[in-house]
Amino acid sequence: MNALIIAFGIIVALAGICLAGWSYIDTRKKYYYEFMKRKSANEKFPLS
Amino acid sequence: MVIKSISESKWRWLVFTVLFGLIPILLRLLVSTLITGDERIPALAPADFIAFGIVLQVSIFNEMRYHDLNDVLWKQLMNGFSTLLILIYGTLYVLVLLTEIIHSINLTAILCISTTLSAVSFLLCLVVYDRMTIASTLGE
Repeated sequence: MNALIIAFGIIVALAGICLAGWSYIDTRKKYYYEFMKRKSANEKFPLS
Repeated sequence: MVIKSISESKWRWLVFTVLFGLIPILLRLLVSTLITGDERIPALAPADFIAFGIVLQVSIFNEMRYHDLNDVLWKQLMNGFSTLLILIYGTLYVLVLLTEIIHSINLTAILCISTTLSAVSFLLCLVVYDRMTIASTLGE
């Protein structure tokens, strides 16, 4: 029972970390290219 | 300046969601530090971390509701994972309640898992707010 809880928790935590990493990279890729397409002099890519 | 580099919505989220969600954890730490003697209050409890995680996941739902992003796949993934995490937090809370009558359930294991999962929830929230901020700045 306890081992099952720990194993399931670790799997979900790893999945969550992977999802967060993927989302971070995807955001940077998607919106950076979006920004580059517009390439306005006044616009800055918001990193924060 | 650190404060200037953080966008306004992220700053509001940090103060109103994260800080308020951390109140039970911080209060328990404070009370356990202040109380001295034979009978002591445990410094960390799984229920506090479960509550913190649920608060963070609900804030993701709320933010998704009011931001109209075109990215359906990303939105579905985040909503789906948030739902899964809320279900897991619910199950962990049931297990915490069951430890009062079933002593074979290890409370320390539940504490470790709930702490890890609330940290993962915090990471996911950061990523979601990051995307929201960038998307709204670029006017999507």
